[in-house]
Amino acid sequence: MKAAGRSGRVEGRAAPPRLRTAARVTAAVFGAYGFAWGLAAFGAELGALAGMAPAEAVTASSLLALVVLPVASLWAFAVPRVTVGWAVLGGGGVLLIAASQFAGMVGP
Amino acid sequence: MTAKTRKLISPALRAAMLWPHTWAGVTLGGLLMLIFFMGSLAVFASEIDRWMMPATRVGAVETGPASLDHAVLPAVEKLAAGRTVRDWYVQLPDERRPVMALQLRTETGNAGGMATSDGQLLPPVGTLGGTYFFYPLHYSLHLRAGFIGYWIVCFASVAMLAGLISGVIIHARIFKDFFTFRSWGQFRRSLLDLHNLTGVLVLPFHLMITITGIVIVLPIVLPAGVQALYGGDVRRFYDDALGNYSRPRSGIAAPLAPLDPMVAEARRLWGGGEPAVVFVYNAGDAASVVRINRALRDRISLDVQPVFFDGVTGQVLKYQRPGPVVATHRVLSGLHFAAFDHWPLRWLYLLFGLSGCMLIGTGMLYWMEKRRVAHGVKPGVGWRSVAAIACGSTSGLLIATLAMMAANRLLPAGIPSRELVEVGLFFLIWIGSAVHAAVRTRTDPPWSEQCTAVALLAAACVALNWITTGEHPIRAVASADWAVLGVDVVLALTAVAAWRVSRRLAQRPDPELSTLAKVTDHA
Repeated sequence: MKAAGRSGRVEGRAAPPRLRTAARVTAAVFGAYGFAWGLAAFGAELGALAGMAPAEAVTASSLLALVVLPVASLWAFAVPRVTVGWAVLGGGGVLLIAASQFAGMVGP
Repeated sequence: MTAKTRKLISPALRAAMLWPHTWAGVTLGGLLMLIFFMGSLAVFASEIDRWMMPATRVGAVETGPASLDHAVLPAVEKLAAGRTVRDWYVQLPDERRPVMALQLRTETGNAGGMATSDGQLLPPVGTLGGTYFFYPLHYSLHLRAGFIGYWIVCFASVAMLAGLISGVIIHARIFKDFFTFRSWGQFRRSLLDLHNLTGVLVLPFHLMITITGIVIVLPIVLPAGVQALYGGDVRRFYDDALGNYSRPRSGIAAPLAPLDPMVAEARRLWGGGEPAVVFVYNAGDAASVVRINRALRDRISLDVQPVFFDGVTGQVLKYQRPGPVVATHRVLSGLHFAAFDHWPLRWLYLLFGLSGCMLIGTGMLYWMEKRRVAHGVKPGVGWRSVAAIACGSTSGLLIATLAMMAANRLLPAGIPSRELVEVGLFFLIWIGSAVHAAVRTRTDPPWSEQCTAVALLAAACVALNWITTGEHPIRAVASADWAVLGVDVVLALTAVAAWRVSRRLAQRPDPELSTLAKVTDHA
């Protein structure tokens, strides 16, 4: 509970600690997974566009995303404002997925 | 440690890492304990199989069967018992499993059995053993539908990775710890030291084994790339990546070509090596396919180099080598599997796997002791739940495992669904020991009582193996049955260690004397 209390003082917001904790945990679980998903999807499309064999591109981008996943998850606890954490992980994930869809349409 | 890394790991970051580290451990510690313990057992799954399946202790075989056509096909026909076989496969004997394992899918259900390397069918083994119970419990919790077990295990594994990384950040004084173990003085201190010591010394293995574990099933638990480039069709991805091949039944009957020339051709393509598994898909059909996998014992990579043959003509249909990235993926997976032939490394995998259990267990114990200081000797429901989970997932899990092995030697051979009775007993006794832990937790979980149970059960297993199979350690040495001897020795060591621990714990003073009187450190 120490970390939650500390970030509470830093943020100085009215949001109850329980809600803030829930926001951090969901950002760490779902936000980070969404971000990793976007990274794996976009990386696969990018690799395919660059001429990699599809199976190679999928494997390479998934391995990269797997390394990023636990770090992104912990970052959701380290970032001073949980809203920033959600914006970067959730927003980044959505952007990456959109970019991969776009790359999929452009690609062969 | 340079000044730069000192700045990188600021006190605020270390404080922020404490919360996820603590609560990931407290909430998922029990599950991770199960995964690490069963994974450690899985390293020696074949040896546990020999112990639990006495009928398969037929002595070591030098090579596989001389002729698949003469040894395997009659056994398949006998197992089919007149039903039409759709697909079947045989795992060929090797150094660690001196028997063939056959699995059939017929029109009316599945059948399976073991046979000696010359094709003599053995009576049903009546147990799932290490390979079919402990090992799948490690990676799928036996929850197969929708890969739900994979998802749960991988979720816990990512939490384990996050726990390892955050642990390093919180700790951030790795080198001092090589020399720090204060076993004198306070119990809580030595718990923390032990937690840090295991975490630091075995950190490379723990990181490797956790990440490679997820890597094996990565296309299933992170199918983003498969979704993007293969339209979500995992099977098509695997066909492409691993060189797999499949085709539907044609409906036209046709006989199977001889298998022995196919094995010879596969050997030629591999440039040496031994066949490990032979699959026949669409058996008896004009579209039948034979797949031959290479044995893994001569390299790290989990690349089984499958060769696909047309089952009617015997011509090679597909033999595709993976690209560099997929080959890397196979090596990472192979590091986790440890199927390579290397006995000292196998023992190290077991010991390091158990050190993971120690890391998780000491973490939970440290939390319990620290909370006790914060809340006093009258623990609340939360503390008691964690205490019961900690006890149920350590000594309770050992009790359930050993009870299953004892039941394996006690249950008569003929009872119906014998293997399911064993599994049922495992889970009932596990639940029972968790309930016992919950009920008996006052100031401490009933460690001493459960350790006594572990000691008695482990000793009983050795005795029961002797009584029911006549295989005592001296005979095992004489007949060079190292698998059974090894399991017996580990059981005996477990019995001695658990007995000593239980005696020590029974003599331990109450916690108010040992820890609460000395609230001096940074609690």
